[in-house]
Amino acid sequence: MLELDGITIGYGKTTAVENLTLRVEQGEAVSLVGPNGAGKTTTLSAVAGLLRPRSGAIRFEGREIAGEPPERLVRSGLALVPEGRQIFATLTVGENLRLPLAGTPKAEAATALARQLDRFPALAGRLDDPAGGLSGGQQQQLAIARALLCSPRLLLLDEPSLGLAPLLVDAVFQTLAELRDEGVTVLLVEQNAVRAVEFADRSYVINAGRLVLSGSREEIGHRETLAASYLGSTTAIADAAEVDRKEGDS
Amino acid sequence: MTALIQHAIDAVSLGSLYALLALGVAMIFGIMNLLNFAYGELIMIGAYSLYVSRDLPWPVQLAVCLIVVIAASLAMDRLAFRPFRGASAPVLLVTSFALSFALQSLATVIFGSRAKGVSLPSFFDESITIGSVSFSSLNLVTVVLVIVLVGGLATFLRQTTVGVQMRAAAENFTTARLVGVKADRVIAVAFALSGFSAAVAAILIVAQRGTATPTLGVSPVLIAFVATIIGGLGSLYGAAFGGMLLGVLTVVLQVVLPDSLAPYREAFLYAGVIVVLLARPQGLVVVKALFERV
Repeated sequence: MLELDGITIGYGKTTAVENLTLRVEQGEAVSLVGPNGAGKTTTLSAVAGLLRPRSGAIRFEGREIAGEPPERLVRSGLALVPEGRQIFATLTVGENLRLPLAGTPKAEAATALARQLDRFPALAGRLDDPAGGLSGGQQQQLAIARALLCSPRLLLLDEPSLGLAPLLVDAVFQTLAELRDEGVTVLLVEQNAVRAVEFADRSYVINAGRLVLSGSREEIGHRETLAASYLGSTTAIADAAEVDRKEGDS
Repeated sequence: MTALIQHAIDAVSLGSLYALLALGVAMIFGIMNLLNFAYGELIMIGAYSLYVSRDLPWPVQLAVCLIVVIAASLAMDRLAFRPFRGASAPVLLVTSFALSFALQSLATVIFGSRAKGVSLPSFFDESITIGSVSFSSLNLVTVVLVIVLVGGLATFLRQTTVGVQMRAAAENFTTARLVGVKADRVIAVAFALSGFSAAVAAILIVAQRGTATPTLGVSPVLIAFVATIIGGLGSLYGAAFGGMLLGVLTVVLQVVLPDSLAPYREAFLYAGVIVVLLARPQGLVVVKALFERV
């Protein structure tokens, strides 16, 4: 469904992502994890049309989309839940939710809205309130609902758990699991690597703009493997474990 | 008492005109972060369109002014600013300066630098007397027109799909595009509305001065910038409030300053502006988004 083929993205003279290749198949949940500054958000921004890669190809359903404006990509079935939620704080909750429905026939728009309000009942009672007054968790629900109202075939999420209390993080991942079960294709970018890898069918780990590890949940689910990919070497972890063991023995 | 009411009417009338100018500038700034210096030249174009169509019936003359200025504003976006989409604010500012000077020069080439007399329908300069208070019909027309326009704008921004999209774009342009808001369309609507406000301002200013000159828009655009900045760059309400405040202060200074100091009215006015900005550098109205609570 989505293919990133050797993309390199930079800002000025800095290269943020280098020669990254990644695939998301239809119905899959894929996570892209890595430490702060690894290039995750940059990658997602390029897929969503906010950045143009220096080189390489981005194909969505077989069509080259690199450099297409975000508003056109949304109509092609690609929706992004941006980092930090980015809800429109001064608009009401209802106005936030109706933005993606512009141009949709009235009856169809009402059905789509009702469906998302069923999913997020906390929003239903607050349609006329300014979105800025919602709690952090509700704002994240609003951001996800707003993206789902774009009727995406591929949902991109950038750090949806960022800044949320642990219970709310659980709720976000619960929602993502439901979406995955409904067959929504998901590409998730997360700093909370353990949760993201547990959730996704497959994961990619990037560090300093380069792919360092990829595989299924089972293949890279071991914390040691994941930690090693963050630190840049598996031997570092093995050495650390060895030291721990010796200290434990003495 | 009569004099006080008289002055109050003058103050509210001038404040309304300044509020209208400020709204035209703030509209574009909120969406594009562009302080459009060429806004003044839209007013100038409006003045010359009134001059060119002076022999036509007045409804046609005013309609020509509205259509020409809105078209000029849309053309400005399409030809001068769209090629610089995504450029930094200073680049856009310099572009608007260049456009402003180019349009003034073009007007000088076409119409010459001497003022052209423009006559507008007589209902603009009739005298209205209520009790012992008498005022120009232009004052009344200005206040009523601006109230109607601001009310209409607020309704447009609240009730229409494009209006809500504009409020979203003003708050966060990138995210608005991520939910399918068409960037070029929203910007074009903002330019059309800004052009509309410039056309109405042109009619009111020409009705007052009776002439069109190539530099007609220079002073109004400066007033609009100052009003927008003291109101707080980030709020349509703030801009309108800043305009009204500037207009009221201008009339107050005109009344209270002794004759010997009257020629320095502007110096006093802008010294006051500096004091306001020293006390509140963020402007008088601070909001997170341009169209908040409109």
